[in-house]
Amino acid sequence: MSDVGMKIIRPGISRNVTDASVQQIGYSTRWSNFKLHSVIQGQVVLQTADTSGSVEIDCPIPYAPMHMVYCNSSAMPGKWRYGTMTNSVGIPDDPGWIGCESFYTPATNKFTCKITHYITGSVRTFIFRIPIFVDDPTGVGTALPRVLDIGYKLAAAPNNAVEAIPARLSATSEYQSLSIAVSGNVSNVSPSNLAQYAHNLGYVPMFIPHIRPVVAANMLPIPLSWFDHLSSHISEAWVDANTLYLDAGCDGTSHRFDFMIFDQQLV
Amino acid sequence: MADIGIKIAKNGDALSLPEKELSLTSSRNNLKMPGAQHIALTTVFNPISSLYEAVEVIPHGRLFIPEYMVFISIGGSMYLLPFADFSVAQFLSIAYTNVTDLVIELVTLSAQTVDFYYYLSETEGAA
Repeated sequence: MSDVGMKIIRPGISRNVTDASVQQIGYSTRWSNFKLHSVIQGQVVLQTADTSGSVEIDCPIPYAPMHMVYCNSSAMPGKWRYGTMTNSVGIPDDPGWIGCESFYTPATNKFTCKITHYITGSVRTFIFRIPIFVDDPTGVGTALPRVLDIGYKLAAAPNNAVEAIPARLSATSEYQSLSIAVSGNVSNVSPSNLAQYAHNLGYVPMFIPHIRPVVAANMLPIPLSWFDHLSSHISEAWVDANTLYLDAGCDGTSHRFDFMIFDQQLV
Repeated sequence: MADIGIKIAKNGDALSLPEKELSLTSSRNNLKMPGAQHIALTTVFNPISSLYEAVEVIPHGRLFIPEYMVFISIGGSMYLLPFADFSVAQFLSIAYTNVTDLVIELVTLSAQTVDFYYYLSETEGAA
């Protein structure tokens, strides 16, 4: 790793930054941090007989941004899950989820959030919260104004920090960098041994959950349901202000769950 | 948080703000993302499942299982994976990593060529 630019050793690593490995480095201008612009929100209310609904939310950035999606059900106040699905996930704590999706449409510059939920008979409310980052997966993020020359800005190599658009900056005082409060894993999670991890941040944080099935070396996304050869690894995860909840279903075996919990506040 | 290393705030006093308010701090690890990459997948008919499928195995060259974010572009709209919508778009897609590869799987009801954009972190998923 080149000694050009800036690099910072990870906390707790006692090593000279100039000969540290990639994994011992917590930050470097060689790479980019996801830079948080804002968190947007929309709500879908399903009346007693409704099984699906959607809401459109204005995107504050005029291009397809890097984003994450989270959803809360009124059946589980204060608990947030990832707002994507591959198919139905019939977890006992909050059954009935058939579909959950959000997508960005350039023509309207809006996010559309959809929910399909089959247990009728009561009014159900679903809140979507979408953290928006100035980073641009498709590489077209030129429409956002340059960051002012106040504070600091570090370009992701090989860009020039003075001229780079926000999406090409590695980090800047204009935006919060997505930083990892804690990452780790919980083993032996099964339908008979649901797991919790106490993060104790005192607010609902952004997070990324994964399942590592015992029969495979893959780090799969959560929520996970039917998907061909992955079909037996149904899993779900929620987070609230102090706890991460991990839930594995169906196949009766134990799995390892990996997670990243970020400092940035979702709610 | 100790006042050792660096702490930079967007607004306010970096010395007194919690991590969630800071722009950058040496007290935290970061995702360390190289730029996003693009790949297009074309599904072909699988007579066993009677569906159209594609699997792309992308070697990542890291010695650990990296964190990742993958988006699928359908009709110009961007979806974060995992994703399924057989009722409208008729797509089902998932991505995952292991110690050698990023794997992207796509299932459709007809032959399709679909764009994916992915971030593959230099940070281990659960380090």
